[in-house]
Amino acid sequence: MNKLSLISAGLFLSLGLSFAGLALTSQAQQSGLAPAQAEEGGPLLPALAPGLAVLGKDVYLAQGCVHCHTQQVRPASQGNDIAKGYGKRPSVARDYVLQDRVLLGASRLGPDLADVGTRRTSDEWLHLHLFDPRIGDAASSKPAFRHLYELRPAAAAKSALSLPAGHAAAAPAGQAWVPTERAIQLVAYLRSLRIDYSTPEAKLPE
Amino acid sequence: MSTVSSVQQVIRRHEPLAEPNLGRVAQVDHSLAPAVLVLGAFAALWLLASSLLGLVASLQLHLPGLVTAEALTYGRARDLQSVLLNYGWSANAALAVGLWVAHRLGRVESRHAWVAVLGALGWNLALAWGCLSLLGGGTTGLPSLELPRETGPFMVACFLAVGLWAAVAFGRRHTPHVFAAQWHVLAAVLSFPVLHLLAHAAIHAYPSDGVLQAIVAAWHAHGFLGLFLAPVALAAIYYLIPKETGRPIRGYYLATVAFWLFVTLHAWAGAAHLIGSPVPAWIQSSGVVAAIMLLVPAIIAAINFQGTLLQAPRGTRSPSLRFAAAAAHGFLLWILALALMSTRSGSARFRFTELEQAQGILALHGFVALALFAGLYYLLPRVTRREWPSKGLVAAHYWLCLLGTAGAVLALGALGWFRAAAPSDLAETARALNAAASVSLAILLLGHLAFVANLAALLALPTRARGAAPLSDR
Amino acid sequence: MNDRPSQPRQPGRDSGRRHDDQDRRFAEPFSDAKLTEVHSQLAREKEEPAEGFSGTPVFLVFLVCALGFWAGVYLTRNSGGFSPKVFDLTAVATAANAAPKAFQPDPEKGLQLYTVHCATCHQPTGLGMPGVFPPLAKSNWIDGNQERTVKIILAGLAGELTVNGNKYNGNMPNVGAALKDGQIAHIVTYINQAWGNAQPPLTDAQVAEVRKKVGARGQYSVKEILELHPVK
Repeated sequence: MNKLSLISAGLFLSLGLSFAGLALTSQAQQSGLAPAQAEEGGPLLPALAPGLAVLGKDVYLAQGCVHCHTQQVRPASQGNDIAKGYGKRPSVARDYVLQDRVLLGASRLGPDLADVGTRRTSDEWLHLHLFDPRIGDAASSKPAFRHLYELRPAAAAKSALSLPAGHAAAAPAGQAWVPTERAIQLVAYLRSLRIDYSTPEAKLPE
Repeated sequence: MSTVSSVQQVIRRHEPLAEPNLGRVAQVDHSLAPAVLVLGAFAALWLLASSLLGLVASLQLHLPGLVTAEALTYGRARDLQSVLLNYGWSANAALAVGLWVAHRLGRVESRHAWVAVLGALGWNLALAWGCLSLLGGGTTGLPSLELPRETGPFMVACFLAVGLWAAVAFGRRHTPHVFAAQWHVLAAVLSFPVLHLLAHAAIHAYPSDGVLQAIVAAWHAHGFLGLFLAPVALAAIYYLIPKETGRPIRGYYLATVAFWLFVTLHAWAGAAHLIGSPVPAWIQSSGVVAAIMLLVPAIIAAINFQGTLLQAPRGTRSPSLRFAAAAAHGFLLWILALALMSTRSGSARFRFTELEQAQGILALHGFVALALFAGLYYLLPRVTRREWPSKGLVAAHYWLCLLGTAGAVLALGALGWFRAAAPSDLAETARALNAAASVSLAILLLGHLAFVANLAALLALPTRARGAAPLSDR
Repeated sequence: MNDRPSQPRQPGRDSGRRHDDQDRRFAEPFSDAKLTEVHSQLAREKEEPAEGFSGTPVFLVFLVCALGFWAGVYLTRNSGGFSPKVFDLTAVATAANAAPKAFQPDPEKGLQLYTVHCATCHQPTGLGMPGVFPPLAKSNWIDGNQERTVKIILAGLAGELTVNGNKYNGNMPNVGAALKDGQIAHIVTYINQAWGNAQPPLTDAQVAEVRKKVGARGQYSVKEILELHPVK
């Protein structure tokens, strides 16, 4: 243990082996992974997300959503995700092949979002939830993303938020809260997160 | 110059080493002053910023609506906090301690100090720029690789400008023997550039498909902690325990085995953070095996550290030893927690819960930071030839650190435990425990304030007369 | 100038005194040189077998061996054959244990397959083309004798034939040779129930049976097939 060359060689070997084993092997194994038909004649899935949703992913990233939300449904043997309703089937590597940044996440202070698009089908609900999460759940610890909304003259405002009566942040008379571009993109992104299809590795239960 | 220095080297090589060579040690210490002070100052600055942001983030969990500024909402505050803790405080302090240990034990004076200083400045400049970008929401979203892609190669170059001097010191050492602390430092300074470059290449330069990104990010995140920060922390402990207790490391002959196991297994253990994730089962299994096998080097560390501490003469007291001993306990707890979380059943219950955050705090605050504090408390007076201005602040720092870390780990750990046991309505419990965690983080922040105040006062002091005995010496 | 709170500053230090201080400072139990030397001796000493075994290394060797053995067993059992497609180990076990799923003939899938493989000749309407491609709709050849239908799909049919009283000069290739049993079952099920036909569905097992009988032969002649399965 007193040779610089020996210790360095050992270290580089150990690091190189682990990188080759974990990263390069998987790359070789999974390089052919692509959207596939779950059965003969079916559509190729997963499908590309719509453009608005792709923009929304940047908003998702920038707001740091990753710190509280995962995007992975674990198999029943590895957690109670499916029992909790986070998804109908476990997620598999193929679900992520079209994403240019994979945000599996590591912490669930909030629910998993891999399949949120099939659970929350209303833009209105998502906007209200982002504007003030405590409208639906008084005990929620989610931050209010009010900076994604702006006040506009009520007359000109389409898609104004309909806040419950007496809400603390209710818009002044003649004005209304409307979602900004970013909020619209973020909601489109959330709606696009769905695992409502089968892949050859993981079928949706009948 | 070259002839003179080589002649000097020859002479130095033949100096009787068992005799304390006062002039030389003092020169070695002093030659490191520029690099160590720059690194230390930045480390202290980022430590405060990170602790403050950690508190801001934690407060929002039980006082939602407290912060309305977009740049400080929970997610962004956490991004910044973790980047500043990893790349700001831990990396800077680890480089300072690592450089010092390598030069001190190799009896090598630091040459061309300006290179290291420039490297340190570059590193921190890149970090500051990256943090501004994070404040604007420019994160990559991958744990431990949050900083923008442009910083990657530049930060590695800066790291090499600082860290390679530790390898140089190892290669040019004037001592016939090598001590465990030296290999550990060497491992740290050689690992980080490889880890960081390969991970950046696999994520940004040759973007890997799908979940491969998650695999690479896990490899990097765990390697950053296990192969860069942890070895420096262990080096500090290996150095300080015998130094301060006057007892040789018990079971020292096992240290080599432990070192190689530690290095090999940590390189694979990152996969344990992907149990249950959509990555092939064999990757998850290799992570499980590596993380659990880490118990072996941990047991050896327990024999070496705790075993030696038990033999220490009673009444041995020094700030460095206190911190090093606490760090040794923290290390053991961290590896135990890691092994627990890395079994398939443990992961099924506890993964994604607050228990995972508790484990992170245990590793970074309960082990790495304590060991780095131990190192800094020992080396700064020697490097600056000044004395820690306040003994009280050192004690306050120690107790506040311990209290804050333990409180945060226990509160979040308990919350994670409850969540795993009863996934139903935990709102009230969660609020109470999150509040407890915030209080603990505030205590921790106070402790760090004590450290920074002491450090600032130390730097403001005029240089003392040479040879004044540091506080830490009996 | 700040004083150290712990130790009152000693006035009147001269340089000689300072040197003593420094001596004291480095005359610790372990100077760095002594620290490394003692430890390198420690490292050397225990390597010699003559030292005998203390309890610790035996325990550690045992532990390392046991953990190594466990690691090997664990990896072989829990790696899903190092396949990139195995994510859930329990799923493999349950899938292997579970009875194979019963085949459900599905006319919907049959329609999709028919469109791709059959409709160019027999037309989406199933009416065929006069003189060339015989009709399938209300055909007297679709009469409940499924074996004949499957045989023709698998091996093809050549020769002049009469369907519903009209003559056709048939030369059907072995379309079904490249299809799976289940796919043929879907197609036949669709044909059996489309365009006013009213015949029972067909399963993949039935197709497999016929495929065995057909073997690797060429097209049937009309005479051959009518001898085997006469048309009413």
